[in-house]
Amino acid sequence: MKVHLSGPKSTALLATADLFRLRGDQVSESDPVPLDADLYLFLAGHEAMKQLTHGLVVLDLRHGIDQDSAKWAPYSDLCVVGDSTGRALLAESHGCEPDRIFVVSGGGALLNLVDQAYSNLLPPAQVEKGHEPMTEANSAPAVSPGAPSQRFITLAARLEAADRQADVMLRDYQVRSRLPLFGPLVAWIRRNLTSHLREPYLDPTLERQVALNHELIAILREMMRLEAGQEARPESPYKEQPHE
Amino acid sequence: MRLLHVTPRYPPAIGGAERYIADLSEELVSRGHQVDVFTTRALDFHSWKTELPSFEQRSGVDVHRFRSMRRRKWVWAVLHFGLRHYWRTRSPYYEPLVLFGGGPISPALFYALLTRARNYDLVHLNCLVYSHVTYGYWVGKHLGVPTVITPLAHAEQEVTYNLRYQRRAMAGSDHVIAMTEGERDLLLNLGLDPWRVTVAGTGLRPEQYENGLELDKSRARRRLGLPAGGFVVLFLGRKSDYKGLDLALDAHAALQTLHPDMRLLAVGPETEYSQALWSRYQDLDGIHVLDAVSHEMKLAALQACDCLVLPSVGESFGIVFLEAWIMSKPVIGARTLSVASLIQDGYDGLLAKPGDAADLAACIARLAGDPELAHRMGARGREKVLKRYTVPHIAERVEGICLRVLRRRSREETNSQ
Repeated sequence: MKVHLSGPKSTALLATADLFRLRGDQVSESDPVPLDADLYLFLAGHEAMKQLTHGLVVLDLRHGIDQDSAKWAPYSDLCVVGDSTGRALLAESHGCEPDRIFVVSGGGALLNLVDQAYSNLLPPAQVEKGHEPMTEANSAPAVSPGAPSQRFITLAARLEAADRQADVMLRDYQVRSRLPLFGPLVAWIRRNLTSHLREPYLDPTLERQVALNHELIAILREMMRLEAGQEARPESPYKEQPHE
Repeated sequence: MRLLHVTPRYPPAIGGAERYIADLSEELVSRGHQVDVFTTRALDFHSWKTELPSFEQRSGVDVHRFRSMRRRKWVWAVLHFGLRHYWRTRSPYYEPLVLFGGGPISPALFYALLTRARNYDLVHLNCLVYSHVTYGYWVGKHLGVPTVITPLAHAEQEVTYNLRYQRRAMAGSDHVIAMTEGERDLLLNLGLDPWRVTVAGTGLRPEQYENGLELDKSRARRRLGLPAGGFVVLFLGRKSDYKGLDLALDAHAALQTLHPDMRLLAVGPETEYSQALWSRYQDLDGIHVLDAVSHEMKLAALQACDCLVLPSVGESFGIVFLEAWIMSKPVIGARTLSVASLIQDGYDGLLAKPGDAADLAACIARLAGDPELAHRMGARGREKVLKRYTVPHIAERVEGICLRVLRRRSREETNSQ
């Protein structure tokens, strides 16, 4: 396997290079980044990561995560960090997908990881889903002082919904028939067969019901308004003194 | 990289999906990639009517547009018949009807893909609910060109992701881009490989909102004919049935007793549904309605409001939340899978129970009663957008996904040798 390592000259870079050399890989470290390597291991961000369309690109951040290096995470196939704190930092602060961040402690584990990834056999990193963070909504009381009660708002919303349904008449209904040619005749017969019930009995009864519904809604709305006024009214500072 | 985006519509057509693909294309071009777009000549997905020119260059992006079949009344009938029977039986016999009825049916687009897709390193198919993704995927597979799908799946609308041919396209493509964590979870539940599903999201260009921030709130209100005082709730979006405008109106009506000076500003293109709605709510006070507006007017509306409300149950992302946040305004959305992934309830916005006007009214009342909390939420939202949801951030992610797809392909080829 041809391996290219890129990053500032350091003991970490040399140790990683030795790791691959020891198992017989062909390792290069110098710039420019060659285009024929099988594995690219970057210990810091590099412009070449944006051009590599073959091989496996690994961002190795085991030796520290800084802003400049972390922003290259989207361009790598996977990221390697030293501990779970590093993973959390990379995922939360830099938006890298947690599935692609692997916690690796030893050299052997790194070799195993890249071999599996190169063969596309690597399962995604196991990530525990965190608990829902405590927010102001969770921690604060549901209703702040002075705010209308939830029950009141619910009642007001129900009242408005009831108002939309108060008119129970089917005013747009028209007797129709889809029969070709004879349709209008069928509709005319049906209309006339039912009109003696609809006009003197059903329509007036339902109209009275609609009027009653509207009246009730108006009364309830007025009552709510009075109630709201009482809720909003501040407590009088001049309390009545008890009689001695 | 040479990238081909295949999308049902492209600006000047209006919509979240259109804006996403245009922003992405322009940003990738500015990063030195060659980006072409294949799309239809339609402005409107209701009819797929041919209205736009066949070729246009927009900000360095070559946009090739193809004629598609008009979606007339009978085509809609075919779609509804197919869907009704598909959900009842789950039989593949009804799939061609859905595929045909959904559109866009464009033989010219299909032929162009067949003859020209090989010229690109990767084909990106946008918006799974439409048929072009299915035939685009088929062409990619046939020619061996890597394909990436952005499904824009709405968890509450199965038709956007859960037909058999849609699942097949996603499973067979090289990568799937989800808009939110919630959408990713939804797609993984369909059995997709976690390595092949990544969250990218969508973003804004903050500089386009600077003018709005410079505008004084009272001036913005004057410009829109709103009173200087009082709490203003903004509904921003196409006034379609699933967007929840009726809930916003019900919530506003419920709060009229407590906050008589509260105003609801409804901004966005009118639809037949909204026209019917206005006649139902004509007696309601404090409603200000605007049709589709210019960017400047939208900024004025965002600056004039005290909070944004979008209780929609059909969002794959909800870019208007980002727009409100960038203007430091708190937001209220419905607790759906995607929106709940975007809004952190109680931290940068509030989530109301879907379809519950009373809960929505309670959320509005909470913000109206606690301006400090509203201010804090808006500030946190702005911080979130700048940190995570800008166009360069999103392009970076998509660029990374494309590179990973190409590298994975190359490794597969090497391993199979």
